[in-house]
Amino acid sequence: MRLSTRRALAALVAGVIVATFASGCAATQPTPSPATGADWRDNVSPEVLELDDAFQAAHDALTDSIGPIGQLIAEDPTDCRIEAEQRIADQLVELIDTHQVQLQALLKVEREGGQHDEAALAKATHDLEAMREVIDGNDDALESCEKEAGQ
Amino acid sequence: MTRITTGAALCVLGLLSVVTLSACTPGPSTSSGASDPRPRVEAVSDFTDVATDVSDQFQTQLTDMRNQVINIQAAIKSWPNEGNMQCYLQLQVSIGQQFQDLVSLRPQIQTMVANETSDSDAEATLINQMQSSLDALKKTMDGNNKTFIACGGNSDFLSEGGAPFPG
Repeated sequence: MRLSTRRALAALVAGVIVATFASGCAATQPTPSPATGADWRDNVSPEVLELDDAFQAAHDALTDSIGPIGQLIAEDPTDCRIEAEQRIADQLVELIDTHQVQLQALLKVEREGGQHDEAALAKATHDLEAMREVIDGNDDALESCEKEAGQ
Repeated sequence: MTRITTGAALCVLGLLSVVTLSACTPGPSTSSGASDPRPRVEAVSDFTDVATDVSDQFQTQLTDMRNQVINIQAAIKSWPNEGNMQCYLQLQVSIGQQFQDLVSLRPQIQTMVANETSDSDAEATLINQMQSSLDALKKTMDGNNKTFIACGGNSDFLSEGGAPFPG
């Protein structure tokens, strides 16, 4: 085979390998949907978005505490720690069953082009703030567990 | 010579394609599929190893459940389609309940691990109860993935994270 033919063949093979790699990855990696992400937020009022963010923060606070409390229980399964874990699970259910419903009702109205009910927004905001105080109390409860364990 | 060189190049190309595709494809979910059949505990004198195994399963399921809790919320937060939204919201309620059910097993799991009783029959019964409860919850958790797909989601998302919806 002539040298130039070999070079051409080598270049072709290299090109196909690169193209195969690129298409293989593109076909198997998750592709973001155009409707997902932050674009839907453009149609929602700042007040309801603020509630949405507050809900997410409360949700994150609960899920963030699940791992560490499980680790503490694994190290030393005191009743205090186990009860704290049960409360976190109960709070998660309450957050979903009550506060998510309130939030989604407000979001639905605005996504459909309507305006939110101010009284409903005020109640949902107030209720979520109260829930957040309960969730924030988990840290104090755990601290008290540690004091109890240290005695 | 030309045929041999071309044949070898195509062979290498084929192998590389297979390697590439397998490297790019997301791996199987650790929390999906049928649960392993595990031997039931009979009355024996030392339950420590079996109890530790069941306790480890509990911890693994708790981690998987937490992932589902986080990921269903991520799906809800990112998707504005009302039809799908109701489906995801119902699934989130179910997942929250399952999480609560799983955590409620913790006191008995700890009792089982402590194995403070001298009654081996009682210990064996407790271990079998915990194993059965975990198996049942595992099946339900695996079912969540199917429900998530039925809602319009991506199969890998609920357990492992990723793009929640088909592109």
